[in-house]
This record gives sequence, C-alpha cells and structure tokens, in this order.
Amino acid sequence: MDNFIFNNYTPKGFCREYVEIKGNSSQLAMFMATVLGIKPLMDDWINAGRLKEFRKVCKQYGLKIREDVLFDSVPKSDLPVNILGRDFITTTSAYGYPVGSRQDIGVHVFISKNEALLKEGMWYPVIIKNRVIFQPRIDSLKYGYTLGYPECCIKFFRKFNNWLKYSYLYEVYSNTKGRPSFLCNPFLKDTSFSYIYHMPCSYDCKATVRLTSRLRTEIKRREPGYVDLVDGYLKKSFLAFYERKIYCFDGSLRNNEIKYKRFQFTTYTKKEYEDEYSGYFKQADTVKLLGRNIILSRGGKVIRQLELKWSSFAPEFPFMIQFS
Amino acid sequence: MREDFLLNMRILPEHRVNRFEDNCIRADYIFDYMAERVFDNPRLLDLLSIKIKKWLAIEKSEFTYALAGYISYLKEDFAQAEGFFIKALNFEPENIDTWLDLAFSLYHQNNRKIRLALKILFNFDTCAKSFRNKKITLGALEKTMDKL
Ligand SMILES: [Zn+2]
Repeated sequence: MDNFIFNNYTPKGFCREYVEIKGNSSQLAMFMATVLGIKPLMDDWINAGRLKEFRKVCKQYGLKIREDVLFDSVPKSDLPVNILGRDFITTTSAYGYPVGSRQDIGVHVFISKNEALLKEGMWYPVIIKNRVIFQPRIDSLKYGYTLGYPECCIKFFRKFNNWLKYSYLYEVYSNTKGRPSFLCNPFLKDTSFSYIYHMPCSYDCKATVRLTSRLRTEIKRREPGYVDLVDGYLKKSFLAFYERKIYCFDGSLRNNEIKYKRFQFTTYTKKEYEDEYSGYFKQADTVKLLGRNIILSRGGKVIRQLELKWSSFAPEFPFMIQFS
Repeated sequence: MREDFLLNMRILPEHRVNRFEDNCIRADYIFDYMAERVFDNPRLLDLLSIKIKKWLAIEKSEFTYALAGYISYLKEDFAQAEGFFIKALNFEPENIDTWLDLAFSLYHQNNRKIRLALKILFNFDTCAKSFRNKKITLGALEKTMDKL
C-alpha cells in the first residue's frame, strides 16, 4: 500500500527555509503558527550541524530561540536494563548531551516570538549518567498553557489521560456533541498535515476551532496550496482503536462503514506488530464496524469478520469518524 | 509542623536523602504529589504559602527548606525556590533530589542561570560530591561548574 499521509510538503515561499533545514515538514503548521504569533511557544528538534542556519531562519521570521539539550534517541528496547527510570519511559528515550558537544544528532530547541516566554520551556526526560532525568511534575502539568492549548482541552486531558483506564480518543469522541470538525482532527498531528498539536476535548471543541480557523486563514493567505492539502487530509475517514492504533482511509464513511481506495496505518512506529489490521484491509475495499466486530468485504461480499479482543495494556474502544 | 502538613495535604511528610549510590530515581515524593494537588486546586497554594512561614519559624531543617522550595516553585517564584533549595543543600549536600530541584529552579530564570542549570543537570553526581564540606552559594557553584 503506498504512503499518502507521511508525505512532506515544501512551501512555495512562507517558511520554506524551515522545511529545507529540517529535511522534512513535520510540525510545519506549528512553526507557521509560531511565526504568526498564534502559538506562543513551540518545541522542535533540529540537526545540530544545521543549527547556525536555523538561527538565521528564526531571525528572518522574527523568532527567538533557546537551545536546550542534544538528544541521541534510542528505542526503549535498546536501553540497558540498569538505567534508572527506564521503566517510566514509554517507547523511545534519548541520551542527553550538552549543546556543542556533538554535531551529528538533534538539538532540542524552544522557539517563540516573545523572548520572555523561552524560560517557560520544559525539560524533556533524557538519560544522563545512567539515569533518566525527569522534569518536575508541575512543569508537565502546566506546559499545555505555555504551548497555547485551550483550557478546556488541558482540563479534559488532565482528567482522562490515563492509558490504563481510558482510551483517550474515545473519551473525546463521547464528549463530542456536534459534527466533528476537521479543525479539531488530532489524528494526523505527527504528520505534516495537521493544524493542531494538542488533543482536543471534543472533535467539535469551540476553542480549538477558534484557534485553528484563525491559523488556517493566516496560512491560506500566504500558502494556499498547503491549506488545500491539509484540509483534504483532515477530512478523510478514520478508524481509531486507541492512540497508537489508528487507520486513515481514502474513502467516505456512511453508517459505520467506510468504502475505500487506499488506507494507511497512521502511527509512526517501528513496532510493526501494533499494526494488526493492514494485512486484512489490503484484501478488502469496505470496512464496517459493528460493536467490537470488524467486518471486511470486497465487491459487496463479506470476506472476513474479526472480533476485537480486550487487551491487557491500553483499553481499545474502536470507532469510525469522518471530519467535515 | 508535621501533623499540620498531614492535615492540610493529606500525606505523611516523610523526607529521605537520595544519595547517588542509593540508585534511586527519586526519594522524595512530596513535590510531585503537591504539584498534582495544587494544579487541581490552585487556592491550596495560598494556604501553603502562609503555612510554610510558620513551619520555617518552628523548624529550620533540610526538610522544611526543601518544602519551602517546592512551594515557591509551585508558585513559579523560581528565584525564591533557588534560595530555599540552596539552604536545603547546605544541610544535606549529597541529596541528588535537591540538586535537580535547584537545577530546575534555575532552568526557568535568565540565561546565566539557565546555563548553570544545564551544568548541574549534566553533572549532578559531581555536585553531590564536590560540596560535602563546602558552603554552597550561587557564586561557588558557578566557579566549580566553570571548571567542568
Ligand atoms: Zn477544548
């Protein structure tokens, strides 16, 4: 199945240099939001060897930058077992080094239009001297405010962000009273095609819509081609199980059934085993969700029925959604 | 003082020194616990600010200074937190938890202090060893860290 959601986008003009230096366009919309002063502060990872050029780009766009720590990322499975705090890490971690000590890895930076805000940047856990150094709990609790997330979404996150107890995306779905708006679609936040980087409190969260429609309007003025693409991606159909297991379908949703031409597993992960269904979806052209049963058909004929088991890790509550 | 803390925060105010050789990620659990409580109920911070003055008047120890540091940090008064953590470290210079708490108080201040914060974070073990018999001040710290 060909890739269609992890493509990169190179702007014609506005913020083009950002993509050129990073070598990809992930977080492009967030960078634009920071340049436009809509997002107060953002985090990013820039190749240390290109830091000098990146500083220039920030200056060109009126941004201030704070260089934090070098990150040498490692999957959790490759970490020695004797690293203190290893158990508290989810999937990836990084060894931390002082800026300037290496050129071949990424440097974590804070970017803002407002220099005073840079000190509100949050430390991300890194391994130093065989132990993971974690930031104080209060810093992570408050960081949503620093990043400009709506208060309703921060409060909702605080209540339901518990992987063992809730399927967060499903809680957001249950809290959605109106029609899901593509301006509140968080499913592609790790790709280049998303207007948000936070988890909204509902798929029609008014505060999120206010924030993103302003951003969308400003980007459209400068880079209309990008907006057309992002809108298109965000309006596709999705089948979500939990945060790490989401499928995007190039097709439309009707009566809990998606007829599709293409599909893609949206989670950027090396753990292929979490992508349980791609093999099945390849054989079909329609997927229907009935409670916890997935019914696959091709040419109008049912070819397979799968029953979703209760996992011992994160609870999975599957649902289908299309944003408009 | 401890009963009063228990009454207000509903958690036993235990305090243990976390030495490098203990291989413990964090011995103190109060700071994070307070963060959760204060985030959900910010008015609690007003009460704690009043209480800590009284507690400090009764007892000046590593624990009360660390506690005062936590409260200042939660109030986002990072300069004041820095002062309290330095006082706590002068009671117990080997406590890794307090070194990291001090580093994070500096991490949210001006560029000079951010630089020092990073030095401490990358050398917390050296910090815990170097100041066993020396008075800790911001100046002394900067001097020691500059040599690294
Ligand atoms: Zn919201």
